Amino acid sequence: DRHAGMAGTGLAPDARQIVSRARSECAQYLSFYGDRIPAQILADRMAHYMHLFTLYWSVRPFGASSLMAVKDEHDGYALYLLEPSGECQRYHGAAIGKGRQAAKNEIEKLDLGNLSAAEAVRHVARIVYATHDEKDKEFECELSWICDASGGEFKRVPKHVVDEAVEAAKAALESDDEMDA
Amino acid sequence: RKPSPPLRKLQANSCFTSNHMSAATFNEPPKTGTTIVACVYDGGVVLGADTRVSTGIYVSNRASDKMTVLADSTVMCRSGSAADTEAVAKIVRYHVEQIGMERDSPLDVKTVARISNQINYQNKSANHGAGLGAYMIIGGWDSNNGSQVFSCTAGGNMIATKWTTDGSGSTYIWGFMDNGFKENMTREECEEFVTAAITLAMSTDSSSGGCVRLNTVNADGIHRKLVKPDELVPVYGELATTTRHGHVGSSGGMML
Repeated sequence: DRHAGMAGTGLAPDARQIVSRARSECAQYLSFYGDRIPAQILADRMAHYMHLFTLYWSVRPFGASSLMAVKDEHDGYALYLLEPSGECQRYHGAAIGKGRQAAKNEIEKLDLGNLSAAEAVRHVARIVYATHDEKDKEFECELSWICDASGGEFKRVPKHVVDEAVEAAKAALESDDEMDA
Repeated sequence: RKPSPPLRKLQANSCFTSNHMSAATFNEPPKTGTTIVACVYDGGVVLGADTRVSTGIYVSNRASDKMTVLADSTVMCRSGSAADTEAVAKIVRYHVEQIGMERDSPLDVKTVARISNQINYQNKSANHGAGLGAYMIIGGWDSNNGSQVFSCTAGGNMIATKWTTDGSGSTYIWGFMDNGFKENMTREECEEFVTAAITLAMSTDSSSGGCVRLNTVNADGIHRKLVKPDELVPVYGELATTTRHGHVGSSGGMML
């Protein structure tokens, strides 16, 4: 739904399946209850869904983890981490994927309670660039956010904000390299 | 000036003259030939209903309760088929409890109304295609949207309004309520208004009668009230309850 979004890692088709299911859950809840699905209920439903695939021999567990961001009218902004085991936890900051250990270390250094969304974008971009392993491989950094600036909707971060954050991230990386050298 | 006891005209009904009161009349399913009303006021909602249940021409229950509590601050008034509305109310309460357990906060009134509406809509093929004969009014108060009234009619229609009425007796009071409704009434004004509307309907509709039940829902919860016939204020010149055989308050002009 508009008030929720996801990012996935691992097997891309599996991640897409998770997104598809989440969309269905949102749509069905809206249809029956006439209201946007609350964060904890969506998280619960997704956790149940992913856990399902660990119960039966005829299906394999999902090969993808995802981060889910939801705006709840009572809880505010919530971040959930969905894992193939069916675990679904709410976090202040989380990372998944190849460089997640390094990323988690970086996140722990941040004072998450006092960051604004704009500041967070810069930190996220910096962390993504810093923890990206293969230094020679080009990659595109895609950023999405859900915050007051986006009207409480899950959207791509506006281009100028992304460009600025990426520039700063690249600069930070080079200065790190210089320090190493 | 005490009104003189009225001469109650016998209804020109064949059942009194011939053997028309056959078993068939009593085998009819109870219908809530009813008057139900809901109206918002400044800070809450007043829902009202009469208390007569008729089985054909026989009043099977003259003090029934046509209002069901669905959630902590949402009440449903039922009209149409008694069986269908009770079944719908039960299912709605089940859903409210289930989803309530998953959520932290209480359900909004519009969500509860939506569930009732969905049950009506999704069961259109019941009763050999006639659908559920459930005409309901759902009213309540929640902190997100304040006082709300929803008219959820059979077939799956849901409308949010400031006031509404349904049931067989409603036909007589649409104009009265249209005329008499005011924005931002106080609780007392609203309760009087709802009571007056139902009183008027009861005096005109033969399948509405008895007492008036009121449920007032506000931030403090649901407050129930029963207004007995002798406490009802006559509206537009219909006969007041009178003394008969020296007993004050026993029905003269207003039969239960």
